[in-house]
Amino acid sequence: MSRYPFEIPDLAGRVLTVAGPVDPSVLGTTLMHEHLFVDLRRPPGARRPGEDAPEAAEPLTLANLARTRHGAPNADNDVLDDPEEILREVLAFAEAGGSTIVEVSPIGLGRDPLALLRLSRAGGLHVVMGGGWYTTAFHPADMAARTVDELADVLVRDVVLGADGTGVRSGVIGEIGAESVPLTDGELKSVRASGRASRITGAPVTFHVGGVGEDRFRVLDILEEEGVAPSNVVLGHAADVLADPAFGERLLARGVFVEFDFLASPGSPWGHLVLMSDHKTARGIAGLVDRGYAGQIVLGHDVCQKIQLKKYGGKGFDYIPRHFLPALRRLGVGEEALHAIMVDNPARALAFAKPQ
Amino acid sequence: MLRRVPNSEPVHTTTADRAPQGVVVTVAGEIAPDALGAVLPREHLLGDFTSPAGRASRRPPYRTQFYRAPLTMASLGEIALGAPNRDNLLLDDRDVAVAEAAALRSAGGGTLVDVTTPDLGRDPAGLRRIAEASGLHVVMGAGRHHPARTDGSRDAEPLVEEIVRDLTEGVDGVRAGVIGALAALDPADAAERAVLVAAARASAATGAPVSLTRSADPVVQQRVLDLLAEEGADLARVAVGHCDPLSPHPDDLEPLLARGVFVQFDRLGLLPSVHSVSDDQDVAAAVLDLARRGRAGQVLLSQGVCAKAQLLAHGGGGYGFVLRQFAPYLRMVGADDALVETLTVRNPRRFLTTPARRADS
Repeated sequence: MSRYPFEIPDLAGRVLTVAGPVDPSVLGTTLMHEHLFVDLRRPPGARRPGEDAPEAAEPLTLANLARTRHGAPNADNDVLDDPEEILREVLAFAEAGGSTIVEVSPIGLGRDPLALLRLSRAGGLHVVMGGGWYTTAFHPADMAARTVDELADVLVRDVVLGADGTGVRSGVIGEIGAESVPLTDGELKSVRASGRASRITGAPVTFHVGGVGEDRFRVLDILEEEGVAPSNVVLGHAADVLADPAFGERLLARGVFVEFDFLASPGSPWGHLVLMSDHKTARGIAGLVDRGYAGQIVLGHDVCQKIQLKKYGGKGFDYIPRHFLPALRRLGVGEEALHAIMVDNPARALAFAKPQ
Repeated sequence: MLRRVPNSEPVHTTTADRAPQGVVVTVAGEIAPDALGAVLPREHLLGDFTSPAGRASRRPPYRTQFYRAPLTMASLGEIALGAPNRDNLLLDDRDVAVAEAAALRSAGGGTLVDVTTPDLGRDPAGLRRIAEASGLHVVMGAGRHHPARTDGSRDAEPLVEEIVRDLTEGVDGVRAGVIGALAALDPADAAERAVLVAAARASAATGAPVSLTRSADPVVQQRVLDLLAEEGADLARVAVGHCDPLSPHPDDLEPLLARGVFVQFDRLGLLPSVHSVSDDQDVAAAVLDLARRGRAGQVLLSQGVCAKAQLLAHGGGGYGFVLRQFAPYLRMVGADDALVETLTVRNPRRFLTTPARRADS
């Protein structure tokens, strides 16, 4: 007897976009980790140093671009909410041959289902909407009091009925925040609820990190316990796979997808001295392909701030097709592997499993 | 990923711990080497860094349109990915330069070396005004960047005279304090050889330092240094710039270090992309590696600002990036204060100081 007063549809083998289910073969070139409408301003109590300073309230312009790029908080920078502005940006991706964007904004971070549906129609793009809970700073105040089942219920409703009463459905659960060292009780509960909702609906799960170091395996163990197939799991922000190849091998042996998704980041909020640079990521990916892992790699820019948009001096949503993929080609990555990374793997990762 | 680097080895040079005897020539006159403070040894405050005439015609049309359009916030992304833009390559606003220089001053900078040569639009009066308005010491360049930018003369002697005059009498009283920066030049080309010879002879005559650009071919690079030494330059007062691309392989710097020159990492503060060959993390790792090899005394750091997109006013790292961001990063990965001072104060001071015996002669 289902715990839900509604039927769980069987979308096995289909991909659920904001406009409804589609066959995975129509997705084409897919960005697996982006934000189109998002609000990354920290909730009260979780503010970063400088976030309350008067300068942080200035609109993002050339006058404060330098310091914003180098990590100073800017509220305007942390909000993507202008449909026309975003449409122009995603059209650059479409013009470069792209056709699907996975929008992984979690619950409470400005996720806007109807705006995504309108953007999908206006831009002629497939958009897959995310959900779930992000990092602990953004967890609901009553996280400690909620049970795994209660959390899973929210996710199941987003996938089956639609988010926020809009009828627009989540086609992926995440990006689920799991980055604390060690993982907090709230994160562990959120991970387990995501796995449970994934089993119940068949929806794939995508992670913000998904555990640092050995905690990666703890997260994968929880998903396995909850009955999620590895082919429906995407581990985001996976530069550690490249930085520590032995660790990477262990992770890839679990059969999940690893995602390289800080591409074209201008640095903020970490400063460009901290992230792995794209030329190293590209070399690392070429190495993984050489070792036979082309079938487990997916890519994204993780656009989440205005400074990543072309309008504000960023490299935009077409950097991967226009610059990153040609660079991979120059490093010897063949067309078959590129097709796997940009088309086949996203289609496989996003295709629903049979609900259980 | 960040890891703390074990730091048990000595990390700073044992030589030149005290300021050398002599003077440094700034656009405001001679100053004591001790007054320099932290130095950015290869920068441009004003200048024209567009390619020599003729190349634009070979650009595809879409590039031409972008090339001619004024620089805006919306073009910074394409520019960072390598699209040429004329406006970006013109540092033509003294007021902007004053503000950017002042930002370096407030980041703890004491001296900026403007290595803009006359063929790149050197502006002596402008540099003096920037120095006065910002409180920064500014050292001015002399000589030629590349012969293709001017007449391509094969005769070194008129250029020797010009450089020596710039260094001693100055342009309307504004004296140069460094020769260069020269481009990556090949002694096998007669006109390029003349620029190298003139720099070496003028250095031998005055004691002024020479700022070079590294040749892509290491064999050519050694010939350049051979020629400079033959013509009387002191290689210990020569900086070889644009060493950043070698930072992932510090062993490749050894043939340079063995000649006694400074290796200069001077492309710091640029946002990396998939087209980058190296990045600031690589340079930091190379600096620590060189320090462990006992080569800390031969390393110089700078941003090499030569485009608007590198300025704070256009979202760049500005002239203060090394002091404000790179030095703290170096400390985070294992450098101590002595190493940072060696890199930012002691080394450039030794590079810039014209020995007393020269100054007195």
